[in-house]
Amino acid sequence: MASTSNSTSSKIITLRSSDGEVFEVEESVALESNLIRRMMEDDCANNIIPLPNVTAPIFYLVIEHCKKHAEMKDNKEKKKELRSQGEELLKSDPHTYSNLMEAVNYLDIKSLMDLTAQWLADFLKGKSPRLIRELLKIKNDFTPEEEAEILERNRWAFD
Amino acid sequence: METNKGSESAPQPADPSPILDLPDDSLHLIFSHLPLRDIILCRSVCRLFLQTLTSPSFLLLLSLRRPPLRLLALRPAHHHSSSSSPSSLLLAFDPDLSQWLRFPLHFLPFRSTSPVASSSGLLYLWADSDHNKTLVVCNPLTRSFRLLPPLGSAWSRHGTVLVSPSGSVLVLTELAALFYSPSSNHWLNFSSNLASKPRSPILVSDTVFALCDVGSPWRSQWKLFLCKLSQFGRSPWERVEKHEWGDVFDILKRPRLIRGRGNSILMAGGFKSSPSLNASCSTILILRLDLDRLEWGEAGMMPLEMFKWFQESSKLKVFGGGDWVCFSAKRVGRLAMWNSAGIGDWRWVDGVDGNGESVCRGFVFDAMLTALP
Repeated sequence: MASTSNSTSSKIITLRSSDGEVFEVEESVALESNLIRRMMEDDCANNIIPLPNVTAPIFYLVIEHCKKHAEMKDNKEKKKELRSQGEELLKSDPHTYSNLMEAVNYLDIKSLMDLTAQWLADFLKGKSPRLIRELLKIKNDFTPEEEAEILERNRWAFD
Repeated sequence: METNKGSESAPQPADPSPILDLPDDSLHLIFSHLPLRDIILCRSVCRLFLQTLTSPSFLLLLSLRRPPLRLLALRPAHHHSSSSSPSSLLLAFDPDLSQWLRFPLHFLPFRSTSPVASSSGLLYLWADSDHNKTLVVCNPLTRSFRLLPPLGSAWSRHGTVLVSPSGSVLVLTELAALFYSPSSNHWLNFSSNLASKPRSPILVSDTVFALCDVGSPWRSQWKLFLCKLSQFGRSPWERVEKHEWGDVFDILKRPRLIRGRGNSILMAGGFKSSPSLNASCSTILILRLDLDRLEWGEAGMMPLEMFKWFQESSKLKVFGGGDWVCFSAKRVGRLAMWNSAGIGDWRWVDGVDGNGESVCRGFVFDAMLTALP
């Protein structure tokens, strides 16, 4: 489970995902989320904190990445690893990627917001609009005239 | 909301990408990590991307989070006979990607245009309008432009155009200077107040620096002068000098100034092998003057195998700014480029348009989407 096995005497926070699963998380990890921080400041610190917008598998991923991100701070290798894992996820499972991004956004975890945004940005970088559409399964909803006009206005970038 | 639980169902071809369902904030954050060129490319992926990437809130975020795209723009070569379409194009080099970019300028309603300077993402060009040369400010990325008031004198277009980040413009000619500030919206005329023609004037934040020859007709003697933009025409140029500098201006043949990184200026020229009058140059030297401490230091020296291409040239053009300095000369056919980031980082830049006969001049152009003329 996602509970921590660390022996430090840090406080444990209990959280419940939208599908009813209960997570025990170290306070230091939980506080990465500004949403949880605000909730704890308000009152419900002693109770189970409900997270109605996050499913268990996604929450598991979030905690995982919070920990990895903390480790990565002074480790270039880890940083690289995390980036390539992100690209993998994006390619193999775009649904999970966007769920993760939404959850991170909802939980308001700044470091992971940047990290997950960077994944997609890295993925888009250097690719043609056509390839981006193909890989992300996005429909071209421009009329040919509109597309020609955008191309004309921004010709310098397409050369 | 979640329906994709349980066994993995193969995505339908018509399934819209989950990326498109991300909230605006997330999309803004993602795209703000992209370089400018990729942002432009992404605009043509789909309507949602276009809408997101042109929204004012995204453009604001972008201007806060990302530095502009720093390019080295070329000034069009002089053509005495006006060819078919003189220059409806700005040619600019991206040093990071080693790539030439072409910005069309035919959105400007003038017969011919000639880019001469840039500041804060805006391009300044001479344009032909009603038999007059006028300065035009434009952003080639957003295709917006504005005319500055007419200058009133035909010779002014031979002057050097300097532009401050706040949009003040100075046109320096042999004997006179024209000053324009956006707040007054008209030109003021001054005598240049220097002993001789100011050589390679540059603007560092709000101060003009120039070299001036105070020597005799037989022997040139270069000195550095400065004048605050706000004081221009009201107070004389100030000679910048320190006893400790010694003969720093005598080391270089044909010195030129280039705006350096931060509060510094660069001076480049032929490195004289001896102080004698007709000494030959052993290479090209770049010195840096720290303006806070008023101390000179060596910044770069052109490798000899590169210098041999410039050795025979009588006409050397130096331009750039910040981290980049470019050298161009007749018959070299390419640019020698120096980057201050790495010590001794010199490289050739190929692909300069033209036949190699012409000499290139240019300026730094910081491309950005939010610059408003």
